[in-house]
Amino acid sequence: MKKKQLEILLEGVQGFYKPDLRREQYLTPAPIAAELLHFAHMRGDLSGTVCDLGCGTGILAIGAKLLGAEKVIGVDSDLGALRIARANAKNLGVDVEFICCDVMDFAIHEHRSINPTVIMNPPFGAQIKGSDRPFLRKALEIGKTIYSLHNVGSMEFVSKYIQPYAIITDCAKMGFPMKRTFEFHKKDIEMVNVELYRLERREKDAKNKG
Amino acid sequence: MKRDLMDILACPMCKGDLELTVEEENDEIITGTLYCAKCDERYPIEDGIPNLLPPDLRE
Repeated sequence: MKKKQLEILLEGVQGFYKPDLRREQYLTPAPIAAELLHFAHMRGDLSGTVCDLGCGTGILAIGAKLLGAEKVIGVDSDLGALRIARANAKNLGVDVEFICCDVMDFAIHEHRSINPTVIMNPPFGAQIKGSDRPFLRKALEIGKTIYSLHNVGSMEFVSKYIQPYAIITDCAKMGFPMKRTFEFHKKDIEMVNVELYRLERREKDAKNKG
Repeated sequence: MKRDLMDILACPMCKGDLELTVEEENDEIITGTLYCAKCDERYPIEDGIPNLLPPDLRE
């Protein structure tokens, strides 16, 4: 599937009913989701099991399945968002598993030797400082390859935070046309610049990262 | 959820096994329960979504 086709399909994904500011809930715009997914697909990272941490209404998870991932799991602590996510997946005719769980508590059974690819648009820490960190920790705990969206200029922080467990192998800069979601947003559509990082875990056990 | 999700699901507290009880199923499990014997905790499956939130944070 071409990137543009994927983007058009993902434009049909519904966002949050009542976005929660503290959790930085907003729908990842379809062009950004398509860009992230296409990038991961081209690197051959979307063929097996894929986990979307903080999946919200499911745009990344659904996109990964549309690109042919074998099994896709979306994790979020907002049950209402997951109900919308299930409806979104159904509308686009794909099977995606959605699990209601705090991202920090989510665990893949220790007896299974699954190393999923993690895709995520974590909170940037704009509202609660450092709220992207638990997502990075969990991603490194369960995944071997991680695609994560961050504010522009986060590279130094992220690369320091993940060492010595993982390294950033790729960085892509993207414009992020964010629709007005919260009252303090001044414009209907605000361009937010983001960076996509591809992380690769080097150490076998990143669970003790504190 | 599909049955094969049990392959990877673990208790959110002890990370151990969960036992599945199914109440309603068509091509997937719609309603049921996940039980962790070690923690003696039950997690509901509703509308096809397993809910692993702690009991006090459920809707």
